[in-house]
Amino acid sequence: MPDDGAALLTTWRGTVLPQWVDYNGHLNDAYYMVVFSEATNALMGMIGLDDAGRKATGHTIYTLEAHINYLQEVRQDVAIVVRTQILGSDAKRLQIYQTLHRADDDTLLAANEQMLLNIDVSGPRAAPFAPTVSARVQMLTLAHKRLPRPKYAGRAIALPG
Amino acid sequence: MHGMNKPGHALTTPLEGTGHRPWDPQAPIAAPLCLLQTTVAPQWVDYNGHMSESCYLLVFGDNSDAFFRFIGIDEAYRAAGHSLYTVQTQLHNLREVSEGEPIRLTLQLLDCDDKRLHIFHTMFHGRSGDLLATGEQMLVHVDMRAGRSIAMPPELQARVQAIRAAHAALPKPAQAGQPIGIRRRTP
Repeated sequence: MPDDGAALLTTWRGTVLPQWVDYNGHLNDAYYMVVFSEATNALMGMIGLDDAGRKATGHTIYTLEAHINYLQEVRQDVAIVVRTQILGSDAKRLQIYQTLHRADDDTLLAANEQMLLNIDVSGPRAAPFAPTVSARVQMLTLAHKRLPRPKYAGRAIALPG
Repeated sequence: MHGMNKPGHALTTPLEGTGHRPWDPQAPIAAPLCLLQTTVAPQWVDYNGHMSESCYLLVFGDNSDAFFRFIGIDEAYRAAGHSLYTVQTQLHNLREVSEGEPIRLTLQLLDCDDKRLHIFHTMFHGRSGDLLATGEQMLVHVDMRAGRSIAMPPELQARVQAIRAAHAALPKPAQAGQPIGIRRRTP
């Protein structure tokens, strides 16, 4: 399915690399974050902050917070895909939700939420998105408002009871 | 000999193959635990020379591995079919840190039951003491063959309870237990 405005963005495709697999025999928990960070980089490109956009604006994106729910193990060489949803934004922040799936049968492997902050690298300090970037952020935020609130968003970590 | 077995996987931790530390029930337990000090490795930094956001979690994983060996979980324990899996992680990236700079980690046990551990990692700059990042995780003890969670054996539960008791007086970290959200100022 092509990525239209209201659909989730497909932000990363690849396979589980040998150097990501740990002593438990599957994708190491830190490397789920590596994959989700790659997807965030792709999203940056989609809003105009690829290499050229970063140079032109003098801005970049920092991840302030990240949350991962690990749902299924995945082994080396398995094809995987990340989809990204915009949960919200303001003048300088972008809240995103990403899911990692098996590419073959779409099994949900993990969910990730991130709070991103636009940074003026000359400080470095927080700064509002550049106008061209802001327009794209607002367009995506509005389009994704129609999507349902994802299951694993807004979670805190605690033992039950 | 320790450390001589080539692992069957490419990703290793600094303590891989070193076995677990002997548990001394009489020894005082540090609150928080201080089990890892290192320097920012070249392979952890991005094009700006700062540690990549995803590598903070890699270092927290090394801190977890040091903690596992402290309580008695090592290669032999996993080979017998049990391990601890991470089910949730929450990261707060607070300050940048550059290649070659010293870092030190602490680990606080926030809560536990017979099969779950709620842990909190804090990363500090080794010289300035600046708070760099925190990582909160929920770990579950699993039977790897059955693919399901299972209670820890009694000796492991006893060690975990001893650590929890030692950490009971520590304040709850400011970053713990927080969901992610844009907090808007009310007009």
